[in-house]
Amino acid sequence: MDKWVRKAQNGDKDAFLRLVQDHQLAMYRTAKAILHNETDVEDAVQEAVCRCFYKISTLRQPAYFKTWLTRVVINCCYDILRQRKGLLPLDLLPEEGRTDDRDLSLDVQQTLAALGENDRLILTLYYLNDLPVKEIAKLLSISEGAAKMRLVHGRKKFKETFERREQEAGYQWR
Amino acid sequence: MAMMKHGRHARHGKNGPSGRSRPESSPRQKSQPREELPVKELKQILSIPPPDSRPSKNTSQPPGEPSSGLKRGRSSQAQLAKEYGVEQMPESLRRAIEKTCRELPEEMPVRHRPVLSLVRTAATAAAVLVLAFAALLGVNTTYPQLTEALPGLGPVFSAINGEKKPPEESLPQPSPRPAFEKIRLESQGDFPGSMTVEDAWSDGRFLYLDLSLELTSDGLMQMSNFSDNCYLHGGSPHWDSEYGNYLGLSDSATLQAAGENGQAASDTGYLSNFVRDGQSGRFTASWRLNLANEENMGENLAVSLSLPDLTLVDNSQNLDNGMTEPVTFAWSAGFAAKFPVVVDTARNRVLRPQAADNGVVLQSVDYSPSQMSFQLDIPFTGLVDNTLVSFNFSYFDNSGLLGTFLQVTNLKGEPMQYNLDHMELDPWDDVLKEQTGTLRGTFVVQSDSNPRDVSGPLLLTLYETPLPDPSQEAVFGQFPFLSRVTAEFTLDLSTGRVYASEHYLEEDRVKADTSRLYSRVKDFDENQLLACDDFSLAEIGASGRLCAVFSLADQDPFANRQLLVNAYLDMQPVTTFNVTTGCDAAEDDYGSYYEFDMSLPAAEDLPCRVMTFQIYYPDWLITPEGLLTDAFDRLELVDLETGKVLIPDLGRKWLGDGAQAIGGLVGADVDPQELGLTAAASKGFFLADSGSMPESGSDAGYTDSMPESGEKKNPPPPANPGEEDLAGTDADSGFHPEGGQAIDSQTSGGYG
Repeated sequence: MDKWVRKAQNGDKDAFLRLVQDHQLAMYRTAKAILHNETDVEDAVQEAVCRCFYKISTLRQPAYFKTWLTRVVINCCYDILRQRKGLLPLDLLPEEGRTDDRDLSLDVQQTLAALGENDRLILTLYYLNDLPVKEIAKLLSISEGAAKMRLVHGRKKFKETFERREQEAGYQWR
Repeated sequence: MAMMKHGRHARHGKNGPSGRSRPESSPRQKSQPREELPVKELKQILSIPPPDSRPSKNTSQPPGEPSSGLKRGRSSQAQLAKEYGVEQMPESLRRAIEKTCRELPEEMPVRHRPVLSLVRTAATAAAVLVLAFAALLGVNTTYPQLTEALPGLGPVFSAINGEKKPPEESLPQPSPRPAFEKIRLESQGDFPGSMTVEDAWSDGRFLYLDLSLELTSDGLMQMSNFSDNCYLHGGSPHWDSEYGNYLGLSDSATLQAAGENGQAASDTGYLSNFVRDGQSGRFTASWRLNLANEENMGENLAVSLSLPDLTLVDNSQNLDNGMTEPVTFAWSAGFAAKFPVVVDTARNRVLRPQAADNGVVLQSVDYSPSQMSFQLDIPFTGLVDNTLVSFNFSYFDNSGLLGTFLQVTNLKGEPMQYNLDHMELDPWDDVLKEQTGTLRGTFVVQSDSNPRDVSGPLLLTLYETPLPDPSQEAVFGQFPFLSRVTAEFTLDLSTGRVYASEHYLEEDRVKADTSRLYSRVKDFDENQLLACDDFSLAEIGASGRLCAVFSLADQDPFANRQLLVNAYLDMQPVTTFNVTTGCDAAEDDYGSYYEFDMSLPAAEDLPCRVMTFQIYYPDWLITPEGLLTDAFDRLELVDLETGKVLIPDLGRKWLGDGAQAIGGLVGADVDPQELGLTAAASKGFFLADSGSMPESGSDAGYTDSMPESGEKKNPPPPANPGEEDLAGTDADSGFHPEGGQAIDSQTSGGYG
């Protein structure tokens, strides 16, 4: 990958396109972990591709391209969140097949959604995007210990959600 | 599952409203390891090793990676991807990315490598300049009048020879902004009303429009069915075709501006919702467009706006189950207009003050009414995470670097409507790696609403830790801690004066120490324990019985402590959760626990262990409907082996440690009720009704107020003397922590 990054930094657009193709799934997953809306995810990823095109020459260490690119995607997502703040009062999509969320009050939904974003992002970066804890810590500007803590926390949350679904699936079949 | 949100409620006697009795005295519950999970794939991700394994001895993990229990693999990847719905990228996104790549220029920006001869030439020139300046310095000592008279260098020698006085005369005052003639538009669709462009102006960086919608009598009739809180959105609603669920609103409004050479702005801008102006049928909104190529815009903009759809949204309609669901009503509005706007840059200015405060140097201020950019040199003192305090990630985000949280206010401390757009810190990687150095930070703040000329001086304040979001405080409660101030500057745009100031003292804030790296090594108490992470109702778990989540850092990671967490209700211990540390995880009906190793920031050679507890309410405090009938007074940590009460009130311990770490408490005489620090489960903090609050606004942070040994503060004996004391300790020692928990007020909270 270093080779392609250096080529792109030297002006080779084909090398840049190859890098985009290789990392587009990871970019999508990162953006999806932060934004709920597919339209917003599309906007964020496209904006990230543009920023990457103009800024790749400033990357000092090609070996950290993936981390750097993830940071760009995260920043684009946060920009969109800032723009959208207050515009969509109900921007929580009901999860497919789940109707019990409607029993939760709005502030609880917000709690879950907000916590879910942090957990989802770090689990995505670690398990799906294969970033090491050290790089995740740098990305999120937190210490390695905190990154580990969030991973443990997210794993527990994921486990609870998954177990709850399993139980409900069991109830549905009765 | 909803919980009661306001304080304690009347007890229903020994038997709760559910008819379930408080459990008879039962043997102390032993913590049991979690059973293996039934799903094979889930076990790969989430399997918890037996209690007797030590994660730190797992050598198969790469160094720095989380210990056993966090496994990676293809099947776990696939499971997670399926759970999150990200197994594949949508085809629409793939096409969109291809389109974006096609539209990018053929020529990429290239990094230029310095040529050796140019470097040598530059070095030679620099050396010559240094020698010449040194010679002039020598001349300056004998003939200062000569050097001060030199063109270009004169002011430099004047500054060296004497105090540099800031310019006293005002900067030239700009002429009034060009007037804008209002434009009234009629709907080309079925919207019952008209739109007016009330005002339009630009400072070359942003274009701002003020818009209003006026309803006809028919429109007012239609509106009468909706609440006063309804608003109009420039787009149309979308519904799930399968389930009929409301999905949200799209945006169809567009705003474009082109300069004199035809160069267009880069996006369609941000149109706020039209909100009702009192009881009238008038709605107002603002529209903001970022002009990407400000230098090419020229003096006149050609503006075109289009508002094809309008949707009325009312969020106050209640359903039978007490929920709210928005009601929408959509029109085809069909508003469009083209008109010119004069660009007025007379108010824009750039200042290069070189003002310094507490090691921070304000290098430059680039001001225009819509946007301000500040360049600051900030000493690196560590990460926010070094404070070891987190508080509901939702609104105290503990990521980022200490001392980089900027706010612009007026002299009264009221925040201006400017929000941070982006921040660049350089050289971030190097400083983070070396754990020392200075960062050059560029902060760009933009006005969310339509700004007018700034009147009066501005305060630019850098805070050590993030300020909480007020909108989130409305949901989660007030953030109890006061951030320290890294630097404060007053900016007077009318005179160009910029200087360090101390208005933060009026808020009882203290100055951060920017001379050294932040560390909390010295904050451990005599039990080698430090409250960290959350003490809050951070999750509302599936069981609905969660009471509190908190973490303690243990400075002795190899001590296998036998710990009890006693929960008190009406001064009596009612539940107990016990655990022997050294295991990865444990759980029973009263709580759960997990731990992991951590190195303290700025003290990586002193590893410690973080112990995270979750304490649950018992079933007999929960009604069949899932409501909490009463809440615990406090949680207490006891060493089972010695019977010593290590921490008599975990909530207060967290509050005190947090205040010491962050900089102080909000308010000198804190009312726990106002901070939400009641025994109410919805906010999750626990504070004893008796006892004084920790001090605020100083480095002290916390003062122990527990009774001295021998003072009467024992809980009443159990109702049935034959019952075994659930706490396992006799009442005489339960409230007397040996040695107390006084925190040395001379420690300057958290600096290594």
